[in-house]
Amino acid sequence: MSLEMKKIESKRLGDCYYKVEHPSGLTILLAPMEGFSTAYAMFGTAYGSIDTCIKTAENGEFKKLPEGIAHYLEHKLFESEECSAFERYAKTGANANAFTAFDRTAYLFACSENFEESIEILLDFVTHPYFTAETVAKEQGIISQEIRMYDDSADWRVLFNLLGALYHKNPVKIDIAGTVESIAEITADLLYDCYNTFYNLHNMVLTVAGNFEPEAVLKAADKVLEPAKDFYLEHGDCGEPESVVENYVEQHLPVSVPMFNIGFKGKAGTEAENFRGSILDEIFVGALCDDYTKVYRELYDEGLINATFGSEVFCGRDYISILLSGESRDPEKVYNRLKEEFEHLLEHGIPKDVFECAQKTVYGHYMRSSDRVTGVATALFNCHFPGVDMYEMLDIAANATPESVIERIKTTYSAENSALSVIKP
Amino acid sequence: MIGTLNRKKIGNGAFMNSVNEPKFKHNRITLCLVTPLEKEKATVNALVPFVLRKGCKSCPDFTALNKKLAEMYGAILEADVGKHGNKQIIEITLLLADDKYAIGGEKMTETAANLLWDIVFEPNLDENGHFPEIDLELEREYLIDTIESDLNDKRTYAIGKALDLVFEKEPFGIKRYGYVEDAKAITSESLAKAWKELVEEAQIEIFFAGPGNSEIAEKVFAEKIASLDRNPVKTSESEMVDYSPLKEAEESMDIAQGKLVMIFRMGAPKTEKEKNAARMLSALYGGTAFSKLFMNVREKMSLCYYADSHFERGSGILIVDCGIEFENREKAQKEIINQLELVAKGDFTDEEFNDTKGAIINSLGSVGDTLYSVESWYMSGIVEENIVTTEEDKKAMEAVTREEVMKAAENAKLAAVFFLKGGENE
Repeated sequence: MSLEMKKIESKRLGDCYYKVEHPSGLTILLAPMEGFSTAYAMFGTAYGSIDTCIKTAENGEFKKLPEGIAHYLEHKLFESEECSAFERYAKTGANANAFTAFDRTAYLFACSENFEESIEILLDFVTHPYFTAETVAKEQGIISQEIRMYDDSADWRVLFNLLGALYHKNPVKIDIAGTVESIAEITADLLYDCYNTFYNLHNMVLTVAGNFEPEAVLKAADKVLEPAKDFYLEHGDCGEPESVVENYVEQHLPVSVPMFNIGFKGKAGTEAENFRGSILDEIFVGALCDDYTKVYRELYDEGLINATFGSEVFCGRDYISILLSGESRDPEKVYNRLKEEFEHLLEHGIPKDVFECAQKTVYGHYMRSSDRVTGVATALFNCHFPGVDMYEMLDIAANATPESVIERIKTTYSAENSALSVIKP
Repeated sequence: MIGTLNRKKIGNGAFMNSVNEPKFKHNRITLCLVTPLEKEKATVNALVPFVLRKGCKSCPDFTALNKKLAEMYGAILEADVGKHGNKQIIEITLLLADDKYAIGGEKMTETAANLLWDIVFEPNLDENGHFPEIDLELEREYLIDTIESDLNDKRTYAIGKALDLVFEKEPFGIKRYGYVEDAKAITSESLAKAWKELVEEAQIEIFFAGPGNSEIAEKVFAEKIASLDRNPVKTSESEMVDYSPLKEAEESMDIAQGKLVMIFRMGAPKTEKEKNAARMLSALYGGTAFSKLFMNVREKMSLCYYADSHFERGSGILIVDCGIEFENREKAQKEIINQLELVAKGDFTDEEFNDTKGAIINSLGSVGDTLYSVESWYMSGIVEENIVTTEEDKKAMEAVTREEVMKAAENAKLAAVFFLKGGENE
């Protein structure tokens, strides 16, 4: 059977990828990259830690799930009746892994040899769950240790404390792995419920980049994948207000210097709006406080920030925030100065030279990811669920103007709806 | 596949290294100053890259410099210090889009080479030959924070403590960023002297990887180097210690998870054959998701989320570490030792052995696929004075035998155990 491979090209980069709608219901995105030796594949679902309750056509009502179940499921999917997926990959030499994020779960591998065997293993184990009371029980100890590890991570705690200050109801504030107590409630039956709801091929995507033959992927898909049932899922509105819970939160942990996260909470739109908007937000945050700005220099010269200072736009299905992080002996001063600058920019606009720096930096960042097989497969994966074309991100950055950026920020953020999270020694 | 290294002497103790990789859209140019790792100089040398990145004579203002980089399509300037065995390496890198992606036809490679040179060799010094006072103060503070930031990551912290136990007075034990007391003592004079010594005496290694024309950069560097008055100092090899008596220590901290670190001396593996056997052992024992430690300490006993082993070629040690419940320390430690003894006895299948080999060979195949890994692969070879391609290394790893791995495991002797546990700081 030969399927239609739709070619999508970027004039700016001279790159291309192919899109295939497989009869099983799975969308497959393929980016062969000339000259590379590695192939990198990601197979995943639009299901993550924020999916704490489900409502499907079958049961008709919302059902609450234990926190951390998406992550638990990710761990358990590696097992089958015979042997673990890791043991199967051992035969191909591929380097395999998986991750659970707020609104995604992905299974991935990288290899420079035996691609055909590895892609078949990937498709096969993710579509064949096997959970029993014993195997579920065995994982409690392992995941408890993963949770403990994050409890001791100041980087992780400062972020989740911030999300707790920004969000009243949105489950994005819940730790991805849950708690030692919440995961104790997880059973094999619950894992099957979640699996059958979210691991529907219509709700999933396969992306591959680098050194491989597209035909090999399609062949494996034809061999392994069964047509998926129709897909119905309602996420429900969590009823998150625009305001934040509190403006300040702190915790004491053994660290050398106080660490901080500052968050500006945005008004979330649709997933696609959040995703496209986040690129303009990145330009804005560059103009606000990247290392070529006046305010960065002032904070730096006053010893209030150091080279660890950085920013990102945190966005997903129903949330978007601008996050700034770093180390400081006076985080409140940094926070206040940035809020002032935020308001100043909204009032006076972004100076042309600063805007150009911000725009070129964001553009350069997206261009750099096209130089790595992991970067390309990840970008394809991340763009799929919001329904955005990967190359559109470069266009959005290139076509931005100071006015369009300010307009977006004015309607999405305010200095007031923000918070500071601090970890003190 | 990794591209071929083109290495050429371009001055007194100065080399231009380039790997042409047409598949990329960016070039990565790194200027390294390689110098002996010495306790007295480690800290002040570590401060040098931090002040260099603040500006140079041709662009003295920090903000103007960052603006210039942003305008070059968000070029990235990195300035850091690394260590490799008994050598300290000051690394200044520019990562930027190749000329063919410059919309206005700017000559970015040439500009970058000149800028990189200026940052390292033409810093913004005052009439006394000193760095700006504000840069010294801010970056010295940042260096101290960086040294102390080991504490922020408990895993790194615990490994550091275990390494202190093992190395004590050996050069391998000297800290990458140096020591807080030494950092506090740095003055304008000592910093300027450290920079001057580095540019005069360190081995200069320039590394160019990417699709661009490295000859453009080479021309810039070769001309400028000719004007330098250099007196390069050769680093002598440090002797590896074969074994040392077991040292154990514990520390309490207000934490949720215990961190256990065990370091083994490998009997000072000197030949490539011995080192490769130790690499192979490390992978079989705790380097993959089907290794002995993963399958037993994690999967069978559910004691931890991670239990890894890592062989350090430069110093010849094997580091094993895991995160566990405090009360499981004995159980974990016993099993870690047990698994190593089993490997020494040959209690592993040909299948496990060949699969481990396959994993190593598969990952070697990916080294050529990022500019960073191309650079670090060859730079390791340059610093160790043993340059090989990944294809050659694949062949060498293929040739490792079961018996060599068993022998390597037998040679492993526990030298240090460090445990970071919960409770009040003592």
